Amino acid sequence: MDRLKAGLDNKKNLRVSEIHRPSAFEGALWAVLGIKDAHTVFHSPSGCYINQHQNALMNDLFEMYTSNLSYADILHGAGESLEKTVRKLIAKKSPAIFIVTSPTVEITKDDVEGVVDRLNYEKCVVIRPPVGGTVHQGKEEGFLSLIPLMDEKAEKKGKSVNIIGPTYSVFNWKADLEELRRMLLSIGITVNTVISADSTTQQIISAPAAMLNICIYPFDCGVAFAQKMQ
Amino acid sequence: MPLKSYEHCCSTMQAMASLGKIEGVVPILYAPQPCIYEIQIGTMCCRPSRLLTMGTLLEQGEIIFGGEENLKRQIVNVYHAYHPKVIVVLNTCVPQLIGEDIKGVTADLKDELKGCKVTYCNTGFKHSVGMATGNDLCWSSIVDTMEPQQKVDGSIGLIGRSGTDAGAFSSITTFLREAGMPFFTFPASHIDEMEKITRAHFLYPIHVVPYLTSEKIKNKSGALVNYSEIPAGVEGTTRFLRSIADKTGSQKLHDAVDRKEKKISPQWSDLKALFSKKPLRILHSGGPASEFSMGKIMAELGAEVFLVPTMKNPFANRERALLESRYHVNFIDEDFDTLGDLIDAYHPDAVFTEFQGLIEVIPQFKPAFINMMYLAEYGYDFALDFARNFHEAMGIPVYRNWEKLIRKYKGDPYG
Repeated sequence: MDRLKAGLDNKKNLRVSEIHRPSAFEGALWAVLGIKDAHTVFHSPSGCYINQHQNALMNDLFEMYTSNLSYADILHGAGESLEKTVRKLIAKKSPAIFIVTSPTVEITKDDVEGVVDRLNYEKCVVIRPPVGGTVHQGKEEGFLSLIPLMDEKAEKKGKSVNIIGPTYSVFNWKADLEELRRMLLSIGITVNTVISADSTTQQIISAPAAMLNICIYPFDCGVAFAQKMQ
Repeated sequence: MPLKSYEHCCSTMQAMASLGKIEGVVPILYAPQPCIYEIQIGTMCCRPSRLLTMGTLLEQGEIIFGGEENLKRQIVNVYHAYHPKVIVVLNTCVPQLIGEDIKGVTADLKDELKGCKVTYCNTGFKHSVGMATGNDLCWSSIVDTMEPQQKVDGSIGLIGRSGTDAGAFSSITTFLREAGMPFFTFPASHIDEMEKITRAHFLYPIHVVPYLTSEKIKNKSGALVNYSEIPAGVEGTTRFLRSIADKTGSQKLHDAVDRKEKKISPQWSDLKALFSKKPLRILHSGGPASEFSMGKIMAELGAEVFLVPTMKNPFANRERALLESRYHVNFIDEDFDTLGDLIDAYHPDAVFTEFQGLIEVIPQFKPAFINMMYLAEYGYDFALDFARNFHEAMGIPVYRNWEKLIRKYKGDPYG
């Protein structure tokens, strides 16, 4: 009470002002939304979905879906809503479906994997970003979720590399990527797969065909993914 | 159940944006990091530069053990740093889910913060009427902090929808002023101005959104709530103003409306004739309940209107009945997966939607209007200006040219 009356808490500083850091949930979404032909579902109430989709649309154009969870869904189990949503996407013949959980689903620890198992759809991936995680942790989770899709036995393509790191909502990713492609091509190197901005499901599947993985933002994300791929 | 949601933002973001426009009010987001980040980024488009995004950054430990103590600390910190008159805690999905005792926190602080009132609103889980509900809830929470004031006889209280409406009342108040009628508006740019709504004798909501707000003001002040209709379009504005004139017995207000109608009638008739040459089919999808008002204007211009309602309350029910009977507006209540499905079903000539709908509409070479660009849609002048510029805004020649280019270089543009 004395501390309250003093008005300022020295231990926990005033956590106000502009808090403009994206979280692991943004990171995971941005990581998989770049896979153009796949479908991404944000397993969330509609508000979370709207905010994520609208804000990211300011940077890149893409499609994204949601399970539109209500309060009742969260309390009684969100599996049914998720199943309905994913079945509709399966009917659209998605080459891959990514399910990214939201904070409310992470709190209730909904059995999302159980729903996916029940649906028995081969290329359906669940990503559970850590609550309180950074955007880079989210991206890493997103990248790591792609590994089960990959064809380990893909025939190696000589003088080819994967570029790991560019995702949607990264500043200037398109221009940077084009410049990297140009520079690599000038020394006879082709880009096999970009993880993950503007890639396709087939490119993700054939990512192991590259001779080398290049992490272009190694201090942010991608190294753990590259090591696992290796 | 749709595969997407076509509202502009969540209820909390709308509450944040609305409250953030009011001097003397500081909203605090009680939410985890992703919500705070998204809401800050989202509200950057529509808030004063001085608005700070206050948040409590709920962490994992607090989610498990409760974050009330941290919230209390942050409220006190905000009070000492900024001395607001009102602090509103926006209780979002996560703290609502874990059952945080926000009411207890605000009650505990009641006597601690001199000259400042602390209130809250539960803005989480408001699908499928999220954005508009966020408005209604945040205004209701402000009303909770008000003290009733001495009534002004015969005065009119106009109750708006969003913070934007604080600057949009002039299309109505001009006539009240001309008729010498005292009025008060809610929302307003300062909390002290907002509190004056309790002086109003008659309350007139100008949109379907503020139902709870109107009820709370009524309970606080004893004023009568008269929902007439949304004063959008020429006919809607006239009927709204005349309903006030009839209620108050103001012949001056009737005369003011007569003068305006006489002045604009030739232009409006010409515009309606222009629209009737090639009647349009218009689809409205996504809030913030502007489908009611913009749909009304389009319908008055003779368009065949299809509308997905994003507000459900007694005001919306009344407006809906009016739109159906007067203009034969078609309300879409059945479930659908995507906006694309509605376009395939109803074949509109243009679509009012949000950005997440835009990416479905544009590939079909249909003009798309973003709902958020058409706010403050009240009064005669908005209707005239909108109608005058609508066909040009559709940009049909641009779409036709683009279609030709694609056909020339790629093939079937719809393939």
